Amino acid sequence: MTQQPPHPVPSSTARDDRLRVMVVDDDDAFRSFFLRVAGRAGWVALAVDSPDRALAALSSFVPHLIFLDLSFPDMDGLAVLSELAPRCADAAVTLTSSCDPEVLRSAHRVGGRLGVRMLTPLPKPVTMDDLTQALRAFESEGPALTPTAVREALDDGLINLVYQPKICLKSMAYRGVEALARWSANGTAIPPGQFVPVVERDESLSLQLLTHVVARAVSQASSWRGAGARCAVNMSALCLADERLPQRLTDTLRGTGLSPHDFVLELTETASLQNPDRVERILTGLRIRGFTVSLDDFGTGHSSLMHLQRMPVNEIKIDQTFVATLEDDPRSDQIVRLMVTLGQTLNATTVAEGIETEAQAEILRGMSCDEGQGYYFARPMDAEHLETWRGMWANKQPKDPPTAED
Amino acid sequence: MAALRVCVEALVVAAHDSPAAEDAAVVSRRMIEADELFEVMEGAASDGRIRTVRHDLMNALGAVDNYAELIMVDEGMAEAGAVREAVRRVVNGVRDGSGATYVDGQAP
Repeated sequence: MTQQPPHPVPSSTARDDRLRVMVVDDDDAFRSFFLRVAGRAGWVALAVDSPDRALAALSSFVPHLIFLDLSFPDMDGLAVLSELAPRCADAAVTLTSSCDPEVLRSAHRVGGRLGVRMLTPLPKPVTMDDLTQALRAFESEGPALTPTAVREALDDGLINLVYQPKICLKSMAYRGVEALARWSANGTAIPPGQFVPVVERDESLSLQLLTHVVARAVSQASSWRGAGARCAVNMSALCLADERLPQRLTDTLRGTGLSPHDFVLELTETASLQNPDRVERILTGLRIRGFTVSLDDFGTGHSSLMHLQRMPVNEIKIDQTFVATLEDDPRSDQIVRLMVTLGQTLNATTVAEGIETEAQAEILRGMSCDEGQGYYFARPMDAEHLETWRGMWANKQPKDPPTAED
Repeated sequence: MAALRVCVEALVVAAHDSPAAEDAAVVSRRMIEADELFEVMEGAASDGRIRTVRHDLMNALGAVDNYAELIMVDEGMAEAGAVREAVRRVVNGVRDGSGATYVDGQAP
């Protein structure tokens, strides 16, 4: 039976600015306890005893936060998460359970991969202190960035691009840029660390951002384009759920004077990759059309040798965590050396990111790493400053004519 | 469980005729339920019901803790704090799998 909260749920949640929390638990005493604690914390709370009632209440109650038990007689919490994921993109979920902590953590990860914003799970018994702290933590984080908010920002033209140059380590010639999305509203910058994870949990939003970035880079091509220069854009692995991706990107470029050969697609968040056959098919389609496919963050948990085996990538980006310790850690030196050799063996370009010192650049050049990117060369900048920077950079370089190897 | 039971009884007596009486009644009711579930835990291990029984037991113990916490916060009753301490010991015993063979350091 659904219990009523101590304070009546407003008939229109739009008129009540208080945060809303839903608890889904089949224990009546816990539900009553939860309502009392949430009420004391100033939240509007709704307690339901089953996943079915929770799903039914989602659209009318519109919770900001959901506390969800993992165990129900007829449906386990994972099945509930699968049902929730497409319907509560804007709500965060805290799992509660008395099962093994490892199971709870695993369920937490599953929820994240389903695209749900998962908060720290709470093992049962959950105390008043646990609940109050969880509610206060949610409040102090501020209103969560939601996929809806990001979509609106894209539609309103608030997400623009900055560009970080990439340099050939052998000749020090300009090789192109990586385009990075930046969100600014009313003079306030929303850090990429806040909105990128939101995008990378949402398939359609990932695609929308990718096509937006490509279109924007096309419109500013005069700033970055040059002999052999290419623009790299980040592509979440979620985009690979769409079989039409190669055609969609090609259509974005049609009539612009640019071609897929002008672009590098840097594959990120490969931890979320599913269906290896489809992934291989789509990446092959992209390569056939002329895009360069790059494996980003290579060497980290997200990008592994197994990905290299199945994916037709022709560029590897060495993660900055390895570059950062090159000068001091012989093991980093060996590992990066192996990555560069691997790239050469696979006929893939190697790009080192996060180069901050001349020494790092020299070491990488000595290893025959192809390209570099980082603050040592330049920080990300807008299109206008990029044009100026390119002129300055070209003037600083020796005037020897480029060789075939460049 | 014996020590927890004693603590709960003390709380119910202390809360009698106080604003905490209703919450103490919940503590008492769920304690009875926890006792019954604890008894069947060992038998449940052999017939596959262990997961369900354990889930229900943890819910019951959780309710004992939750309502004792409410009493402790609202009325400041020391007996409620003692109940919470005792619940912690039982919960830890259930979690580490010692279940029915270990109760407050004594055989049941």
